[in-house]
Amino acid sequence: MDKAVSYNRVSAIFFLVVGVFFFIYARSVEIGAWNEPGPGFLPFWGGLVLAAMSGSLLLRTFWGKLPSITHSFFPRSDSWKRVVATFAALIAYNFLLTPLGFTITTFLFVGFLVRFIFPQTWTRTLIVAVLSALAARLLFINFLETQLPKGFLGF
Amino acid sequence: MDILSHIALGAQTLFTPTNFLFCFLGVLMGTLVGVLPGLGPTAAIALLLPNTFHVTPVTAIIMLAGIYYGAMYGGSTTSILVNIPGEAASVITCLDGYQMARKGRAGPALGIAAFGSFIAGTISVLGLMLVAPPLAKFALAFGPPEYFSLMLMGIVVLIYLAAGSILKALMMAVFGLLLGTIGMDAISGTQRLTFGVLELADGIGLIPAIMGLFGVAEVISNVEEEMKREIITAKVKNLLPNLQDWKDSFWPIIRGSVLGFFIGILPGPAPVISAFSSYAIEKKLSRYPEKFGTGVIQGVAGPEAANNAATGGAFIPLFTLGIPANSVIAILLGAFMIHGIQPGPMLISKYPDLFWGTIMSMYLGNIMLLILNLPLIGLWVKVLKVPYPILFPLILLFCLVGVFSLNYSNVEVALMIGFGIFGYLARKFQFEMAPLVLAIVIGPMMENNLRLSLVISQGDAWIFIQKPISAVFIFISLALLISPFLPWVGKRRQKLQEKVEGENV
Amino acid sequence: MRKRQFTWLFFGFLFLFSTAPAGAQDFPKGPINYMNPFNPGGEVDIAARAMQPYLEKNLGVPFVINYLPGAGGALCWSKLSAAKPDGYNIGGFSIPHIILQPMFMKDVTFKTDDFVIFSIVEYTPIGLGVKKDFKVNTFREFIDYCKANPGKVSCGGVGKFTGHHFATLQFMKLAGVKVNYVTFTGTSQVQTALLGGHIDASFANSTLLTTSKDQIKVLAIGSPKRMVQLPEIPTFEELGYKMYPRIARGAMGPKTIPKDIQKRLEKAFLETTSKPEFIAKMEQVGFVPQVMGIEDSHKYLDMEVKEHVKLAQEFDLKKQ
Repeated sequence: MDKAVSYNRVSAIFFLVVGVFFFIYARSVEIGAWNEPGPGFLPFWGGLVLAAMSGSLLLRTFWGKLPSITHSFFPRSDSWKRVVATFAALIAYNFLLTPLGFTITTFLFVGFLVRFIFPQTWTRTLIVAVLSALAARLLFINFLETQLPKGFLGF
Repeated sequence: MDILSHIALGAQTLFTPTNFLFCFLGVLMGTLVGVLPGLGPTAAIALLLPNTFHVTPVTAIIMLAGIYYGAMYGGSTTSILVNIPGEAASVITCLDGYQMARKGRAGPALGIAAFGSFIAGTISVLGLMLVAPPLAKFALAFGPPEYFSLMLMGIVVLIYLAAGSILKALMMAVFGLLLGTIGMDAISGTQRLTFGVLELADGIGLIPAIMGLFGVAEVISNVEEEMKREIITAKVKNLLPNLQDWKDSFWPIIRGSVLGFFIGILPGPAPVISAFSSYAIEKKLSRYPEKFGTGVIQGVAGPEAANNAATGGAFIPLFTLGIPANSVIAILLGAFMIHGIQPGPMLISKYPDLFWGTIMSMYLGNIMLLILNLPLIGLWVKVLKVPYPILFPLILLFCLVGVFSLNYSNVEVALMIGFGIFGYLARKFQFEMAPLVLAIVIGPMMENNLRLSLVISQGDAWIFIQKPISAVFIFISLALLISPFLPWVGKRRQKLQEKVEGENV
Repeated sequence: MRKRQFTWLFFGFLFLFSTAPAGAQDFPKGPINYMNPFNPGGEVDIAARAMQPYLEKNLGVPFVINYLPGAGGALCWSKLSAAKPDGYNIGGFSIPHIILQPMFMKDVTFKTDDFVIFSIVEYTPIGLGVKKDFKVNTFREFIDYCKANPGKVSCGGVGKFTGHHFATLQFMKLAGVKVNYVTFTGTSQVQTALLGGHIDASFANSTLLTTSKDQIKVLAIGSPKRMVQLPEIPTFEELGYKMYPRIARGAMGPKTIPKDIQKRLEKAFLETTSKPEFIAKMEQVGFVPQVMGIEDSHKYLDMEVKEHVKLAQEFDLKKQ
């Protein structure tokens, strides 16, 4: 299937679902009257409009003309691994920040990404990770006095 | 002449060693804070406020004001260099500024942003000096119906920002409006789609959304494309704008300044609205609108001027009515009250040294910003030369810390990552980010004012036309909405669209 | 052998004592974190900032003000009720917000009696202000106008289930009229709307009424006696309406804080709020400063709870 058609179709369906979701959700909170619009007022109309627009986009994938798309979804065969790894690192950072503390988590985060996404040598990795963790700590905790978590080791 | 004696008074107040020092400190701190994504001027001011107790109110205000516009400028630096807006107003600067950087023109982009901001700041201070009180009355004339119509016009203007498909841009905008409904509804107190998570009660944070959609998504896209080298793909040529750049940017800066100043008077997210209105205007007036989004200097000069001018305009309601235009000014207002200064219409006459001293400090602050930042441009460009494999974890780190330090909330970091995933996918499906972000900013205000207007008018929707100012905005919105469909305009737009899409692919 | 056993015992005792809870003599050892439930520049912030230098001197440690705005204060208070009760985590509050929110808002995880109030520092009586060109000049005329135009007069206030909302409801009940309550999200919004004439009236804080008194008409005030800052303005009581709406603010912490630490904090606040310069500063911008310790504050709180439970039943409000 032509890429333009499939991409637009998928995204149109996504937004259609979103629009319908808000439209239905609006019924469960008060839509209100014209003289006292309730919390459901905007979700109702907004959802409706979004659904309508997505519907129209969807229809265009069947009958209309769409600008062509030549780029593939994943440019290189193994690039998805890097994408997933980076997202995983971000999520891990969020979870580890409080238990391990800012300095250690930062060190691990930078180290992991430098080493495993576009592999650098271990020496480089270590230097960059240590420097960044320390510099970040100095900047945020000592200078700006932001209250970043200390972790179970206490620093 | 009266004005001259006032300037003299202001200068006299300003040029004491203490005030001078504090002005510099404020500007410096502000720039630093503005460059660090996520930490806004509010944080910096709140941090430094206690230190101002030991100095006179004039000194305090001078420093705090310095932080404010320092932060505004700093925000554009990251927008241009790494496509991460420092705050909402800098989102527009990302559009063309970042593209300029990728073409090796980071220097001129930063330079024109600096000069443009300086010129705009100067113009807005002039405006403040000359027309403060009458303008204040103008600001008061804006009530809920006027605000709603203004915001509506803003949403419609968003269409003109779209480099690609209008329909898709509109879909993102409506999606943004819907996302803006998440949270506790201010008017009725009902929780909408918060799923019991108290952090969501205030709605989707703007910073997590921006950092996710622009910062994280951009980095991940680059990681995917195996960008092993530096961000800059072309050789870095000049560090400063050349003559042609100046010629191109002159009128955008002037227009942006005037526009920003007037919009800035209105309480609300003035810098954001000014910035993208300026972008839309420049795009409309330009001879090659299809080039906007690929790195045209007008797309940086105009909006940057506009958002800086808006910060100047924002002081007007503060000094004339004692009404804060945004949260930063609200802190300044609080500072006034703590120092025993009662805000209100009498402020200028009762405390002339405060008012004029602050105005002169704005001039000085702008000059300091320029002097401070121009040499730094060379430094910033060097930062871009750091190999991407090492740079990108640091960029991500800044995003993470920036978002976390807002409210010390893991929920918001998770939101940012979620937006990052969404932004990454949206790019692939060729949807644009800017309309979404701007809708999230404007959406809640627009909805609020819509409902307030309907409550005040007791259901009478004609209120939007009955009030003159509101009617003007509605009319402009309609005109903008209809024009793409008019035969001759529509054809031209379609031609442009095809050209753009041809180029993009 | 004996010596060794003795040594272990000795160190054992030392260890026990070192982990014992700190007494009031050691408190405070480090900075105190004050959580502001609203945005910088607001009434809570102004009071906190005004107190800050005195408190720091009194306690000998930094008094750090952090902002945790959200959900009209509910976010901060939810966090505060679960905070470590060591005296280093305290925060500001507004009465009646902390009473009404647990009553009416879902997803709120704190209860009114989760806290110990060290001191009520000030309150702002709520009064009636109308826009400048509104065709009434006294409170009576206002009521007559409302009677003649039921549901047409727009009356602004900040939030639902707040002091302003309840003041409006109370007014409607006592005067037997119906006005249109318009919910805004912040004081400055109400101010702009009122000054610009976009709403007709507002039951607003005394601070707003004092600051803007030349640009609006203030018709009545909810304090028991006339306010120093607004000497010509009659009280609701004088006009025959027994309503005393107001918002009280101060400092509180989780109620499980050890009693002697509570006392220490109370002392610091009382000594601050009784200073004449502090009182003068607060009065100048429209506050009514108070000097109330733990006992008085809780008496006030209980009184307000009873009052609001009664009002809530009268108004027949539902949980959101």
